[in-house]
Amino acid sequence: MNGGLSAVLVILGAAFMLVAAIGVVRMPDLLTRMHASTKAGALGGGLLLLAVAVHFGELGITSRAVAGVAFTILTAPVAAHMIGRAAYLTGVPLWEGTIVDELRERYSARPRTPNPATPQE
Amino acid sequence: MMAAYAIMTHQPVFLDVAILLALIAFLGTVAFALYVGKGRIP
Repeated sequence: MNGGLSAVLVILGAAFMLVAAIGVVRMPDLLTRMHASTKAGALGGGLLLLAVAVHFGELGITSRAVAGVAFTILTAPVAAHMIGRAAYLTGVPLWEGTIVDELRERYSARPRTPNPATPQE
Repeated sequence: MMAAYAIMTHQPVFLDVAILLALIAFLGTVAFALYVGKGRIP
């Protein structure tokens, strides 16, 4: 029973990691790639740590696994936010299908540095 | 990944390795973002 549950958790976590990797390959943009990798990757890692907790079934290991899950859930959005903010402020080009760019007026005092690789309109 | 190693080898020490790797990856990500965003480490 223990082994079966932990096996199911491992397969679920690996599936979420696979979804995250496919998202990183398929998405067109830095921000959408970050969106795909952060949430699915954090969920997959959390499921793998829960599988470890179920597999061993001891109090110390379970508490360490729960601490790891909490740390992942706390830090993954912060890291993604900082990467996205740095990317936007340094002028990484957005996807051409982007509809809304709400930060453009807010950062109008500091013009975005144009990327010489992409043609400007 | 280190959690998978911990299950595969029945060795719970790898769980600590997983937590430490997560911590160091987060710190490295924050430092890299600060460096790219501001051009200097504050």
